[in-house]
Amino acid sequence: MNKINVFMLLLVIEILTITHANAAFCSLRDPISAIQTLYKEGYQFRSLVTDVTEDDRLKIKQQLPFTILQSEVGKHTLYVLDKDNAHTGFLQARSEWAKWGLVEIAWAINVDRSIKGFYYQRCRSPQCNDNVAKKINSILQNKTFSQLKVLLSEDGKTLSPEGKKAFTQAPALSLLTLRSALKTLIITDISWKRDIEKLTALK
Amino acid sequence: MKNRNVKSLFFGVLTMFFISPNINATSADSDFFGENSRWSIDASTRITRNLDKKSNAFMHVVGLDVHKVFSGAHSDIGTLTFQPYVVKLNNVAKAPFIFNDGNDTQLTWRIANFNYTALAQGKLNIRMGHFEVPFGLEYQIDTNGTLRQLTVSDRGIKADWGVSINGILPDFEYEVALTRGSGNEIKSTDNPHIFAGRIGTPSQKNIVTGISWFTGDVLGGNGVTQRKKIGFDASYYYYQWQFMMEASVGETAGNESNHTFAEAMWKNSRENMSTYLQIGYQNAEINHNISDETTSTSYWLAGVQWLSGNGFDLSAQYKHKLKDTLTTEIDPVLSVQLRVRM
Repeated sequence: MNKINVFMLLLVIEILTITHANAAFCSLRDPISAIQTLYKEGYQFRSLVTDVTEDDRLKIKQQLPFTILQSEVGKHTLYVLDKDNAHTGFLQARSEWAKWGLVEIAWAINVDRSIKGFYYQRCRSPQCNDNVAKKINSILQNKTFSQLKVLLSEDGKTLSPEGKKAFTQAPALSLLTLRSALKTLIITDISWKRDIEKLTALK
Repeated sequence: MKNRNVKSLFFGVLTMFFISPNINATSADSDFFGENSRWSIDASTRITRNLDKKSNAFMHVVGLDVHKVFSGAHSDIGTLTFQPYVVKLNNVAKAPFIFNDGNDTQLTWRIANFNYTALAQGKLNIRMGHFEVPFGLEYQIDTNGTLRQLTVSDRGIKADWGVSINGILPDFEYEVALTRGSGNEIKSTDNPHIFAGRIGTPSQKNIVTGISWFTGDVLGGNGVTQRKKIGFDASYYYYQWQFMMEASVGETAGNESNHTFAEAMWKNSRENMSTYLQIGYQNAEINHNISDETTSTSYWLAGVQWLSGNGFDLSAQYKHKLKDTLTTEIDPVLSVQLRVRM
């Protein structure tokens, strides 16, 4: 019993000195529904797991007026989509905080790093319905990082005048989705830089 | 495994754990298990106080959580999930049958399987190993290692060794499993076995429903118990609220039984604090060989969980009877758990 108590004391000390941890891995799921919705039939996918680092977080801050949360530093998966054994795009799921909790959005990205489309994987607001998603999708589709950035205000907290004109429906959800799109595109280029270079070299 | 060996392993793992305070899945050796892998150490300690009997029971757990995706040139091949845990009990009155007594230490398996995913891009996968028996709400919600549990006590087994087919299609998800029926270890005593499955609507939606079945002989401390069940579950998510229910009918050792469970949960907007209230009701024949007389039991349970930003969580819950019987007592129980993942 004494041994156990000593170890439990050490455990408490350990807890107080920890700087990072992850969620339980048995709850990890591939975004199958998102892939089926965004890429339809005939596609294959494979995973590229990488470390999104504190350094990456700072690099994002250099290109956007906001960055990823501290909790987003860690292991993340980029899915590479192939069709007829040729690379045709990417898919990545990212999380955003809404006032009612976590919103998880799966992003389909074209090879040229423009947006192919998105899918709300988890959104506990009834506002995230198919009609609203379709409308926001139609505005974001095929836009690159710089084209999307125009829709956001300089401080990144609101839509720009162009953004307000484009997103006439559900502006708060549109802003959240737009910020997620920008974050996803930039993080793909920063954190998976070496993997993408390898893919490009194979072409 | 011999008790002494298990204890040595337990203290060995703990020692490694404490003398390597900075190792984790994102440190320099994060590719210890190769590319596309994640790993973590998971440890917890739990105290359970029986307020009627005025006794305390302890459970200390330390384990490894490994997740690795194997990929080919153009598609993923499969996913390995590997979670061996060493569990030390202390003063537990009714220890699970895999333990020799209430002060025993054993190596246990939470999830340890390989899911072969290369057949049809997630629509048809084949899983082999130790996994959660697919049934009802437990199948959807990860409750491994948490105080919060749903309806597993109704079936007497949470995870088992076996094989399953599983997949996700645009309009539904499914898993159908054939398992050994012996739980933590593969044992053939009295030929246990389970055939179970769940077919449900997409789990990422805000309204999720499913139907499940469970039939087989489940190995316990007193040999096998024949169990048959068919169930229906539903979940509804509305902003920070989550409402879930499960109802099942069937037989346990030939006695007809039905079970109903409901839970309401609220999370704060940062989702690091959650509170939940559960209600469970069970009605069962006492002995179908003698008469069709039935008896019913019910309880309520309230819990709270706080997740810190640095990987530890503190949770507490209290269970109290609404109705019990002389043969099925539901004592008031308060449990508190501290858990850390790194």
